[in-house]
Amino acid sequence: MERSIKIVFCLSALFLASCDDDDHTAQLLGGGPGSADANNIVAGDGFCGPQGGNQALGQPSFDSGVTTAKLDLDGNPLGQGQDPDWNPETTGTVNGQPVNSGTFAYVVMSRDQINASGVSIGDWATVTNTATGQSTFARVEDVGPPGGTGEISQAAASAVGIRQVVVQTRDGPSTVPVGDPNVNVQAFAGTASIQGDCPPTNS
Amino acid sequence: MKRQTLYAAAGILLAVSSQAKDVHSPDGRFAVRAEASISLVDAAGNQLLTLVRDTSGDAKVEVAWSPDSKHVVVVENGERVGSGIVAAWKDEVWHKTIEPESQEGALIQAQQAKFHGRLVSEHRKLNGWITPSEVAVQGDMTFSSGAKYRYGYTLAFRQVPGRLDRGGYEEGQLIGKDYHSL
Repeated sequence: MERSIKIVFCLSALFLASCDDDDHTAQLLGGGPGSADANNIVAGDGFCGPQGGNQALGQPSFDSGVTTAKLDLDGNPLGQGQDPDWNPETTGTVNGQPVNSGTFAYVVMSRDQINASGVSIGDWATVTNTATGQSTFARVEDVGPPGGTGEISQAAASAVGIRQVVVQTRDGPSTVPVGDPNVNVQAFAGTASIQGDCPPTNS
Repeated sequence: MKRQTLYAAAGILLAVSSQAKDVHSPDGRFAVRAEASISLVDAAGNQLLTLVRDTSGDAKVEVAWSPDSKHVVVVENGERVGSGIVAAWKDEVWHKTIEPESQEGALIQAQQAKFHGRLVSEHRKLNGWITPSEVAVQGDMTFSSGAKYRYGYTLAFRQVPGRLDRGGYEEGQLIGKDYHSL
């Protein structure tokens, strides 16, 4: 079996999250850093957070437990060639367009997870880096194969301090998290209609 | 030949669209209605159960009624990567249940190790009723290494007390068994 993995690129992620150790409440960030460039993750707005914050979401209806983070590059035009499973489409859309993994913090759930938890595409979610406590708000925007948990967009990964590398595998280049970080993903059924709290743009 | 051949025509494939499509039970008293959500309705069109709240991402929905009209299985196949199976069964009233993906967990893990890659897509289809409460399922998995695996199993209804999950399904009443390679 071919085990050699050659690191081609190392992506620097901007860490914007912080954890308040005093009250043990992780600060939930908005969609977090991200860009359309898979090799240059920078700050972006993404979905921001739900209006009303955590309290507006209630109790999670899906909890992945602690699971290894995996990256979904789908929807990011520059993800092509950097992930053998890359797809230009995502199940969810933003303004009729695929949800860009580099720009929007989103999570992936399997069809069974969606059904059993009552979650719908577009519902709010949270992603927490269990090693650092960094958390970000995200939305459920893609459907993955059975058995998968912890699959998150590049922007969600960056927002919780997970760095990404493009490695060469026998299937071609593949973008993976650095160091097999663990995350916890929670999703909140019936919250899709809660608007994001992004500040107005000066356009 | 096996009885499943006899009942194979019970499965009807629907393309998901915003236009409602009904698949009627053999006795004509009920139907599965597929649109933005998938519902069980009675002959008058009154909704009895919501089987699937959100069909986003579904490309095909397969509906198979048992010959006695007391069981119905719905297979959602996604546009790209994965499928899901929900079902309903009737005693005095209708109940809805789900095939938990944990049942396939050991199979997926074994095949991932065998094919040296993680599961990247999976699809399933129904292959006819074996008995009025058991239906044959065929599936295929594709792994990141490019390898493909075809398999079959039997999905059996069991009318035992189940755990109600957050989606409203009574879990534990739809059991996969007799997994085998094809």
